[in-house]
Amino acid sequence: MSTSNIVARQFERIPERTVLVLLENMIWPILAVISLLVLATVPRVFTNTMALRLMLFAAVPLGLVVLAESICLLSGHFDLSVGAIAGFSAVFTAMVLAEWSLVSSPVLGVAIVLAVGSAIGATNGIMIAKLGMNPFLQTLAFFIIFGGGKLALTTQPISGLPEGYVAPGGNEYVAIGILLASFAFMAVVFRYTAFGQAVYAVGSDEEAARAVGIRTDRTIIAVYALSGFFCALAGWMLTGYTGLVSPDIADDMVFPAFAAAIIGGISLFGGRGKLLGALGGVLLLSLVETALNVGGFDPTLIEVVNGIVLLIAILLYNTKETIRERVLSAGVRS
Amino acid sequence: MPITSRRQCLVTAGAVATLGFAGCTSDGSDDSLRVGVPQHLVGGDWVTAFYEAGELYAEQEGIEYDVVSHDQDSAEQVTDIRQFVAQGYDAIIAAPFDEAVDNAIDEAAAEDIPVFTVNDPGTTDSIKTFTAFGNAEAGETCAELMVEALEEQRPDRESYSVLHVRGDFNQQSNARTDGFDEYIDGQDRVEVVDTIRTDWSVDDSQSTTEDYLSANDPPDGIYATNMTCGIGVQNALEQLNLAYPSGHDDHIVHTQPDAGPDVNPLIKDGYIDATVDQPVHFYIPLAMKQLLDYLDGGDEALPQPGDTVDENDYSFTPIEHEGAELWSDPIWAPAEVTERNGHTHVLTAGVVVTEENVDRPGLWGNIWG
Repeated sequence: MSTSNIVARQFERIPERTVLVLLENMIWPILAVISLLVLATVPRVFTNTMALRLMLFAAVPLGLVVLAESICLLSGHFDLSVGAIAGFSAVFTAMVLAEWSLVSSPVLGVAIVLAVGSAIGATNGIMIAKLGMNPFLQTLAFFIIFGGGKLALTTQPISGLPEGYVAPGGNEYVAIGILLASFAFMAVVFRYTAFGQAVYAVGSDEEAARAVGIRTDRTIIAVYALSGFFCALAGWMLTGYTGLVSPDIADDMVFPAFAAAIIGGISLFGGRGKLLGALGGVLLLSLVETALNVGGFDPTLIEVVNGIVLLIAILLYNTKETIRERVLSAGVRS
Repeated sequence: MPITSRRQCLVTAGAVATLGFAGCTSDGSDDSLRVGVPQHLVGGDWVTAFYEAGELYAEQEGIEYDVVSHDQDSAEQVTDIRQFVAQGYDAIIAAPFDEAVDNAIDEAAAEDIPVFTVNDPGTTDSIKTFTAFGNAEAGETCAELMVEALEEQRPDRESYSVLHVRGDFNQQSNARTDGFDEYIDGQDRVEVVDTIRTDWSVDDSQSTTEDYLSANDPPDGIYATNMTCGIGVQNALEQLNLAYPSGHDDHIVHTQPDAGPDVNPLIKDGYIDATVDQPVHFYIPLAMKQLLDYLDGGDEALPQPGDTVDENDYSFTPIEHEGAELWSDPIWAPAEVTERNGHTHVLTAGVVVTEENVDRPGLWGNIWG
C-alpha cells in the first residue's frame, strides 16, 4: 500500500469539507513547519526583523512573476516568457526614460512599462487563442525574442532614471505593499467575479466552458494580458530594487516562478489552486533561500536544496490529489 | 509497520535532519571578525581557487568567512549584501556583478560596514579598495603579445587578420574587449576582421568559433577573452583541423587573459602562444590584509593612489595545499595603486605565461590543477 493511500485513510476520519479545505490550503501548514525548522536552526532569520523585511522585499519581483504565472496556470495554460517580458519591459522603458530621453515623467514611465508588458502578454494570448499556437511554443518563442531583445536594446546597465520612477520599487514598504495588494486584488477577482470563475472553468475543461457560453478566446487573451501586466510590474519593481536596469535583468526567473506556483498548490493542469497559495509558495522559497544564506550554508548546495524543496512539494501535491480523490469518492458513496 | 512506529521514525528523521541542518550553519555567536563574501559561484577551477584561497586565509587569520553565491544575478547580489548588513557583519568582500550592485554597497558603507571588492571593481566611491589585475590592462597586454607573436610567426607578411572571440556584455568582459581593441586600433598592420560573441562557456565558444571558421578564411590570430573561451576556441580549431603548434606554417596565433589547469597544457604544447594570468589565489587574501589594516588604522592604513605595493607590504605565511606551497610565490607583486570611480584600485601584476614559464609552481593553475 502506498504512503499516500495510508495517509488518505487517516484523513477519512475527518469531515469531508474540512479535509478539502485543508488540502486546498496545504501550503500554509507547510510554511509554518518550515518556519519552525528555520526558527530552530537559524533563529537570526526571525529574531532579526531587518533580515525578515529584506526577505520579503527581495521576494517582491519574483512574487509578481509568480502571480503572473499562476494566473496562466489556473487557465490551463502556462507562460515561459514571464522573465523575458519583465526584463524587456524594464529595459525598454529605461531606454525611453534615460537613454533616448523621450519621456521624463515617472508616471508616464510607469504607464509605458505596464503597457509594454500588457501588450506583449496580450499578443501571447492572441497567438494562442486566435491563431491556435501551442502555448509552450508560443511563449518559448517570446522568451527567446524578448530575452534577446533586451540585449539588442542595450549591452550596458542603464542608470540615471527619474527618482519618482525608481522610488516605489526601492522602498521596501511600498514594494511589499504592491505585492500584497496585487495578490489580494487578484484573489478577490478570481473568487468573486465572473471573469475569475471563467478562468477556472477554462482551466478545468476548455470545451465544456465554451459549451456553457464562456467566451474562452477572450478569457485566454485576458489571462495572458494580465500575466504580461504583472510581469511588467515585476520589471518595474526590480528596477527600483537595484536602482538601475542591467541587460540581464529578470533572467532566470521562469523556473523559480513555476516552482513557487506549484509549491503553492496551483495545479499544472489548470482549474485548481488559489492565488494566495502561490504567495505562500513564494514565501516558502524565499524563506528557505534566506535561511540557507543567513545560516552560512555551503553555497554549492543551495541549488540542490531548492530542488529538493520542489521535489518534496511535487510529492505532496501527488499525495494531495490521491487524498482528494478518495475523499470525494467516499462522499459520493455515502 | 504500525503507524506509531512510522510516526516515531518520521519524528526521529526530522530531528536528525534538523540537527544536521543546524550543524551545517554558523551561528555567528562567537567574537571573531565576520566577513561576508557575496560572489559569483558558478563552479569551475578559477572560482574554486578564488574562494578556497580566501577560505584558507580566513582560517589562518581566525576570521569567520561566509560565502554566498549570486549566481550571476545582480538583484540577488543586492539581496545578499543587504542581508550581510542586516546580520551585522563586520565587513564585506564582494565581486560586484555589475553597476546594479552599487546602491547596496553604498547602503553597507552608510552602516559603517567597510566594503572591499575583488576581481570586479564596482563603480561607487563607497568601496574602500578594489584588488585584482586590470581586465583592460590584460586585454592590452594580450594585444601586444598578439602583435609580437604574429610578427614572429609570419615575419614576411605585410598585414595580419585577427578574430576576436568576446564574452557577454558585462563589465569584466567589456574591459577585456576594449583593452584589446584600443591597442589594435593603433596598429597599422593588424586588423580585427570580426568579433564574435560567446557566453564564455567551452561549448558555446567552441560552436560559435566553429561556425565562423567553417564559413570564413582562417585568421592569422585569435584573441579569446577568458580561460574557458580559449579552450573552446582550441577545440574548434582541433575539430576543423586547424590546430597547429607554434612554429608550424599554419599555426594560428592565440593569446588570451587567463591561464589555468586546462590551459597550461595547451601553452606547453605551443597551441596557445601567451596568456596574461591572474594571481587569483591572492585576491581575497590581499583584500583581507587591507581590511585588517583598515580596522587597525583607518583609511590612512590603506594603499594610496600613486603607491606601489609589493611582498614587503603584504607578506604571507605559506601553507601546504593540494601538494603545493600556497602563497610562497608572490606573483601578484608589484601592484600599482591607482584611483578609478572614486575608489582605490590595487592592480596586481598580471603574469604573462608562455612556454618558458608555464610550469612555474606559483601559478594558480598548477596548484589547483
